[in-house]
Amino acid sequence: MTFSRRTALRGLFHGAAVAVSLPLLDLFLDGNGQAMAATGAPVPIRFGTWFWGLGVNPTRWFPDKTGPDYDLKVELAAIKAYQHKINILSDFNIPLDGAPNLPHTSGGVGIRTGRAANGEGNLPGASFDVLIGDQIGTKTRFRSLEIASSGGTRNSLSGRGAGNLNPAENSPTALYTRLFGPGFRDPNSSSFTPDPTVMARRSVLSSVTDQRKALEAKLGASDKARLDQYFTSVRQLESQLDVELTKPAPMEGCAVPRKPVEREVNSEIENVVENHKIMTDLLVMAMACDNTRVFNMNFNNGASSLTRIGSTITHHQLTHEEPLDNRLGYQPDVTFFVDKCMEAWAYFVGALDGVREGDGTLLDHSLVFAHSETEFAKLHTIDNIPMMTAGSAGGRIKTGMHIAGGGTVVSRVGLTLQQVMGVPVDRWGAQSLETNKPISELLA
Amino acid sequence: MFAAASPVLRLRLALAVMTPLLTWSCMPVQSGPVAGVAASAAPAPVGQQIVAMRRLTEAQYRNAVADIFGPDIQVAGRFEPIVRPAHQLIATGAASASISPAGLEQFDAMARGVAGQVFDAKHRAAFMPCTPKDEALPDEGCARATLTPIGRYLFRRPMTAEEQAAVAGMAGAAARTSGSFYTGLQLALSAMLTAPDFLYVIETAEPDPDRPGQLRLDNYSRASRLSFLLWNTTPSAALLAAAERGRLVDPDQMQVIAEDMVKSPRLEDGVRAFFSDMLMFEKFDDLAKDPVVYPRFNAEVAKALPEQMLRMLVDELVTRNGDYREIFTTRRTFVNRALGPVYNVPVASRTGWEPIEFAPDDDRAGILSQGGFLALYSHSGRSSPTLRGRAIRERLLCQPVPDPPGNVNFAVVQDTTNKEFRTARARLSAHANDPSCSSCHRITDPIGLPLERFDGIGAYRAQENGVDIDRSGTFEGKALMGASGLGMLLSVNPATTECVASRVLEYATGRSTEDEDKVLAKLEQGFSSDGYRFSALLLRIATLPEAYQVRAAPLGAPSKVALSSIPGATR
Amino acid sequence: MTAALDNAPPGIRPASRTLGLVAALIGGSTLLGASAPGPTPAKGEMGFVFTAFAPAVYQGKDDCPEGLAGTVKENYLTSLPLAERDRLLLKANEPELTRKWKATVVGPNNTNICANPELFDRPMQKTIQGKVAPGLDLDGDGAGSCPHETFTSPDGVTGVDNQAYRAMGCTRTYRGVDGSAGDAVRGFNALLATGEHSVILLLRGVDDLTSDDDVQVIIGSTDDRPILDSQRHFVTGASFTFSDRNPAWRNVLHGRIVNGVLTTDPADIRLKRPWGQGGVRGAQSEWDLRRARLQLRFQPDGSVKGLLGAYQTPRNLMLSTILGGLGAADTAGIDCAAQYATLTRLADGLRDPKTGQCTAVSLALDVGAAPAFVIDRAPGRSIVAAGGR
Repeated sequence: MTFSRRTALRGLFHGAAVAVSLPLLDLFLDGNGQAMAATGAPVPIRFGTWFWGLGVNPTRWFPDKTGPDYDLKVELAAIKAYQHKINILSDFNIPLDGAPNLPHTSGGVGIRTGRAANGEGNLPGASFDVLIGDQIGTKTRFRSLEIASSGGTRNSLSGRGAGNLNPAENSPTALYTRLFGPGFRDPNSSSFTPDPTVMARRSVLSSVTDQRKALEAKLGASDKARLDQYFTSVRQLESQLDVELTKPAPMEGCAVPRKPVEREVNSEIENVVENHKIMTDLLVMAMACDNTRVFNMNFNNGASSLTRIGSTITHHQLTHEEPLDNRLGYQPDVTFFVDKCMEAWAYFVGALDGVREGDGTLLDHSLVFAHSETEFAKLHTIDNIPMMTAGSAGGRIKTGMHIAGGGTVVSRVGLTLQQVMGVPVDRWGAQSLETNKPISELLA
Repeated sequence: MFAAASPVLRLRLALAVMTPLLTWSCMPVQSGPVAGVAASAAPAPVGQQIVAMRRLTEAQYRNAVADIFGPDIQVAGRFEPIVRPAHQLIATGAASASISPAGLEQFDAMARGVAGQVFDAKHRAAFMPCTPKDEALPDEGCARATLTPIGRYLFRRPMTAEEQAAVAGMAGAAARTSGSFYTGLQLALSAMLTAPDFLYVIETAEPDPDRPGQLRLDNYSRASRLSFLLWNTTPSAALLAAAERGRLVDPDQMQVIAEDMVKSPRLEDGVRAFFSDMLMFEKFDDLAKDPVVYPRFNAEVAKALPEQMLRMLVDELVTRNGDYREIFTTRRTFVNRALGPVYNVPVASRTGWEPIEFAPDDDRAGILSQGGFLALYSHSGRSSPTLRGRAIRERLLCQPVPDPPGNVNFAVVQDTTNKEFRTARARLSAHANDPSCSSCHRITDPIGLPLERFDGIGAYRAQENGVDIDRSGTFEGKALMGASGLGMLLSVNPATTECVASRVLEYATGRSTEDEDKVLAKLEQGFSSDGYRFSALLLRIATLPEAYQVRAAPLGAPSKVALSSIPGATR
Repeated sequence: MTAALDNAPPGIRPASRTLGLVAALIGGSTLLGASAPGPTPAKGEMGFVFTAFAPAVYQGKDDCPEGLAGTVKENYLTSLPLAERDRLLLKANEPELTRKWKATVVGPNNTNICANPELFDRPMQKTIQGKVAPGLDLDGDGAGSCPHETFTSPDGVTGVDNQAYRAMGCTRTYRGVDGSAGDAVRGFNALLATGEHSVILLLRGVDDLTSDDDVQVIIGSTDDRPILDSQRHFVTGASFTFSDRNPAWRNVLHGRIVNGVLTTDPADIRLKRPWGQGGVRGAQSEWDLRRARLQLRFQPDGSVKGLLGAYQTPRNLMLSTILGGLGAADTAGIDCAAQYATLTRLADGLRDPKTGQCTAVSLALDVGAAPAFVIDRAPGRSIVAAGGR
């Protein structure tokens, strides 16, 4: 029996116009990172990175299960209380196209710039936190804050490239003075001036709507419905801009903290942990007071010089010296430092989660991206570098999942996070690291 | 000869046009500024009615911006996808696609990005025929002189007097508040790039002198039709000039113009866009394979598979100006390094593509044995004769196949480890023998089974679970062996050429061709007399008078209007 | 002949991807399943990409009776009188111990024991005491080499020359601590998978896989990154071209096949070695294998497996640690000077005609390669993508 076109099933698509709404995202961010909180008042969305050096013991960190409810292995146990707000990202590669793999450099640079590193201390291009800062950081006192808790002002992966590297703040007291000394902007007392560019955009959109009648006059009924949909969308965009033009809600969590005591800055782990805590608390308060919306925190440096007090053996030394016993599958002495890094990360996440904002917490209104610069430090491997996100960026991404990249390029992470934070970008990265495929499993 | 636009703008659009076009566009003519500095513009003719609004696809948007503003202007953003109606093309879906708030937000961001680049210090000189008297103040004359020619290209027709005034007003108001003339231009341009007149290809109709009481598409709409069908981009300056002179409603002049466009290398863009639509290439975005079953499949392979199919089609149908039916039998295709392991062939090119020709007994024949087709119509962990057979019916023969009923038990056919049913053919025998299943499976399986020597990613395999794979099948009552046998029978079956002809017509018009039997019959005859050359089919449809006839009721007749389901809509 | 832990048979996929990675690295990455380009060569040509290319290690029970060769710190402590040693080992004195041992790695004028091992006079490190080691008989009747003990291979073949193994076999990086192999083996093989150091093999004129007395063997570097599946196994059937960065990295050898084993005549082999471990970072170096011979057995799954025997100067053998410079010594604790002293002392090949001293050590690498398409190029000519855009 021949089955021809004539016997095609009919009735599946009636001639009437179909107004199909395909929102790409449930919540939208405007170009300046404002989202609608439940009350209708704007809540800023923040972005930041958290870096730790020398990776992990892979068999003891990466979950076996992908998707939600991932298993927590020993070296990841520290995040248990916040697991539902944290995603694990694994199995993303960094092809270097023949460029040398610079130990403890190429990995972090590849993740943050989508390019192969070409020298020490220089970024080959802009790090994506800077691109996000250009989008959401222009309204606050600081476009971004860079902090390193184990010393070294060049302990930073944030910058525009071409020699520009954002230096990191090392000292808790210096950080305090910078944030809460003279120049501190109290969000609850300052007067609000609407942004003239936003006003101009708003009036331009009104003019677009003014053209409506001319078009409608010539339309058949079926197309009128779609034009209606279009102008509804224009009105929606206008509402978003209106939100930006209104005075923001008071920041309930903002309170000027006490000045911390002067402390030594060095790489002794116990000291680093303490400095990290203090500077985390200061950073969190700076965000609660909306003095910044973008940050970069480096817990230790790439070639981690962390030591235990009274010992001179560095974390780095251990990763190279301590032989890998394949029967164990990991390096036991190195584990001490990995655990400390993960505990510090858990503290950081908890500190953000401890600030109430609207019907959620500061963490809920943030997206923090944590990463290292190697998978297994001994071999300087840069494929499958451990990465995490914490917070949902105001509901824009899913949380509590383990997402495996299937060996695809790590620049998908930078691309996706930029898109989530409202940067208009559809492809990012250079050469083999160039990609236009976001990680759809992350998107809400 | 060209519009009084800025030098580089003219040049860009001139470069987009092949030399032959200059022969007809250089014909002596009373020239006047098409969209001049003065506010004289074409008023809407009496009886003008909008008969279609077809949303730009991503490729069309990008090509339009590249052609109008140059390829170094970046378009950054995500495009709301156009929904494909069942058994039809995205081109048809575009005619009923709306733009949601999230989609518009993206278009707005893209528009601001483009406008920001066009009028930045580096680029603005290329687009401005004038300089403002004071850079910090509005300058209506210069704003008009700059934006009006641009608007003609963006809206694919001259701007009306009201539109010109509105746009100049926007630029002025924005310049005043921002203190910069150029910022004013940017904001006005971003509004134009967000306007429905840009985002939608608006087809307007005028009374048809050959069929009193009926309508036909006007010149500018025809310019858009030609340009999007053949080159998948916005009408060039020359095409707009021809429209302005009324050339496109004259069949003979339209023929000359269309012939030149078909001869251009830009035809490749149109052909790629057409086949991507007809063969549903958007499905490649979701292609995922089980990494344990198919270790050779990875992201690079997924990216390469559709490109391979398009290169093969362009090579056969454009470069070689071939017979459409040969796409079912040709052994020629292209490979890159990522595809080497899938086809088990050496690839000398480290980064590019190179042509290969399979040996006759490789059983690789045409489109049915391209990895992309085979992988797309398989499951993530196994091949699927039924999906492939259905795809052949629906994509290549235009014969829709009903969905399976809701209560089917797929357990047997999914179990690839079953010791009793070792091949897909054996597993499917259950469906073949059940009368409630067989009526549809008889349509699909006998043509999908001959392709079983290609696994779920299109790689060759002689056996499945230790059993030699039987390549026999039947099509329209005739027995056949393997992909080459199937390809041969398809190539001589009229349904294939009828199908592609009807798809091209649907693609050109943005309308389903269900009720166009007479026109399609005529087209098929012409296609045949052209030796089934695909470029000839494109030319035929580009110049087909019936494609430009509008059967719309005059304005004012009542009809159903779908309620918008978006919260906050006024109705 | 090969390391104790053999290749896992194809088809085994460990539950943990990373465990699989570690397991794979020991004996070289495992192969994909059976759909390799068939066992009979087409047109007499067969191509391969190396999945294993690292020192061959034999885990004999009595090989290192005194334990592993020392780190810098351990060797420093060994050099001290017992009382001082015990004092410095007290926890309270750790900073002093660290200061003192670290001081031993640097010399005047910015030199250090890894970048300039030849400038430091150190005692030899612990060497292999056993009698069994993998390798080839490289010097035949011994003419041209310096007197040295030979090994017996695990298969019972005598006269095996592997002084490099004698010198380095008790080091942590060669031997490891878990009875399989150390970081050098894991690391070198990992670099094959990431493409930082990929090596390819092309056989020409193969008429018969069991017996053929004239086969052209080309071994060289490639810039093409291997294609791996989701379990980090090499996918067969990928295409590689010889690197055009340096014509010296394409080495043409002559071989013959006897009883299913391909052996090549001695020839020099040079390959790229792009990695640096610190110190002079990003610096490129190369493998410089003299009078090298391949001995490869054809496997049923289409791959080849065997040994590469050659001579290397101590400097070239230690090159990646030398590039590490100070970091290799004071962070990774590698006693380059002791290694250098041992290698120099045990050198058995490439006699310098003027001094009469041997300047290179014999060595054996465990090698394995998976079927691939290898595209050859004439030196100096580049491959242009034909057709298409």
